[in-house]
Amino acid sequence: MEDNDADIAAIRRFAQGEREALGEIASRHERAMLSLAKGLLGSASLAEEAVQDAWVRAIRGSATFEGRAAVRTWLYRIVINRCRDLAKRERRRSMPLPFAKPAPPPVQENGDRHALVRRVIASLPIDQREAVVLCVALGTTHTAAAELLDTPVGTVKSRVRLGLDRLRQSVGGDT
Amino acid sequence: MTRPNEHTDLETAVREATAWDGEPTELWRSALDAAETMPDHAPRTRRGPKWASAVGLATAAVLVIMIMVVPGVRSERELMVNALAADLPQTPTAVADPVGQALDRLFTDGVRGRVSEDRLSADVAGGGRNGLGLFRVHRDAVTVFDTDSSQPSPPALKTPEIVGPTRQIVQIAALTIETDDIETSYRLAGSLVRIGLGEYVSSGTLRLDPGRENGSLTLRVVPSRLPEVLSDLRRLGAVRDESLRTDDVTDRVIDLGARLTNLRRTEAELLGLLTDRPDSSLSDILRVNVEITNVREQIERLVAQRDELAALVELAAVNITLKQAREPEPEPEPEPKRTLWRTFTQELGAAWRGGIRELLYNITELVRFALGGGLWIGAFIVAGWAIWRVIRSARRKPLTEDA
Repeated sequence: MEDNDADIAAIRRFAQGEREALGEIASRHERAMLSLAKGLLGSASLAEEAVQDAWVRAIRGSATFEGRAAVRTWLYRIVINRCRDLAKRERRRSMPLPFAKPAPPPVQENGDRHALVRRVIASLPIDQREAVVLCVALGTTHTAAAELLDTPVGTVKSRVRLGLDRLRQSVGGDT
Repeated sequence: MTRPNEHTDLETAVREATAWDGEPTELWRSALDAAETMPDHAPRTRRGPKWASAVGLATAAVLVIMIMVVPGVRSERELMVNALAADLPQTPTAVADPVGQALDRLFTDGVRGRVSEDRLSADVAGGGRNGLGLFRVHRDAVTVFDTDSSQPSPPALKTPEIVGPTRQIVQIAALTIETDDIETSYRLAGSLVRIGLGEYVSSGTLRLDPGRENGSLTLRVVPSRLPEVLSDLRRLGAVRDESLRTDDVTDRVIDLGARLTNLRRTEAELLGLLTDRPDSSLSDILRVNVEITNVREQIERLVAQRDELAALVELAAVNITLKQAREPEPEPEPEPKRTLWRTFTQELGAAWRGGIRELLYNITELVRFALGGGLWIGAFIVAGWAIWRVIRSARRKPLTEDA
């Protein structure tokens, strides 16, 4: 709560022309924004592009920011929207051949479990992917994720459970 | 917190796999620079995937082609044609024109060959009382349907013209007419002769036994009035059969005349022998008399033939057969005594037959639907699928960024 107050104050200062106030906000949230984008897009370079675009939007929207939602929620929504746009763009660029089956995740190599987890997350349906990344990777509560995704809490829980089940089937792991 | 605090290995792996482990990026600085240089509102265009447009266009093209080609449209045109044929007037006074107009419209619409002969025949024959005229048009129609519509139709069947007095023509017409009232038709047919012109009814039979009513007449009319009499007879009822036979007897008349002349000359010579030789023997006289008798017999026979031919030529014969138009209703069978068991079995049998009939009807309809509607169903499924995909992609609204 204190962080959010500080974020709102920084936004006010940035809107009044203090450029470094944006850096203050970024120091608290940019890393999480990059993790969120990386989890949703499965690529570090795309994540950087998404976060940079998200910052541009945030800069343009800072003048009208009223503080009704937490700054972090606001930034996450911008990132998620941008990730959706980029995912759609990438999907069009690499359109699979008609009726071609999606390639299965490659077998784990050299113990690189993280790479396998990222690939499996990237193969999840977008709804489950968003829920898993927000609730599991970023540690957001189900309530906060539901508010962020504009979805009922039960739906978020269901998506998280389905996503984890699928991850468990593909990667393995304790419950 | 609605989420449990304890983390599993899998959740830890997810967290570690998605954690940002790169160098501090300070993307906000580059974003700040970009925001100052870029226009405030970059144009955004929301377009559906290209394949969706292609599928939509293809589906529309398929639908248009199907509307243009499928047999359903043809059947509508056939229905229209059938309606035209069925709308033919039933009155005998207006036969040729409506039928001709109907045929013209058929040819103009280019639906030649889509009207079956049977259908047209049935509909036209349904005109009933229209008689020979209607039959004539029907024959023309069938002939034209069998050939190219651009070719002119063959000339209509005409009543043979009455030949002039130089030729000796015998004309014999025959009509079979179905009528509701045989007795009245019989008397009307007999009244068609004009006694003042020498016409008469040569024979007539009327039978009025219930269930076996029929009649027949033979009229002798002046050849020049034959078309008029035939026309009047056709109005008596539905003509089921009509024929007109002509026979040129000029040669026979000439031959009879020549033979008569010769025989009369022979008769005169034999009579001359009797008068020129009165002193001949009795046996010779008797032999000449026998010859004269034979010649006279031949002359009388030839004269009778000549007179008969002359009568046939002088008056045409019209043979009329009258039949009951509708078969009399059969005597209703006595109603069997209705018992409870009989009623039960009858109702059960009727229900069973009705069920089987409905089942067959439904199966037939299903097969027809599956065959005829297969293309439509496929097109609609493809179109619905494409629309659903477009709607689903458009339904995902971006999260609101108002804060």
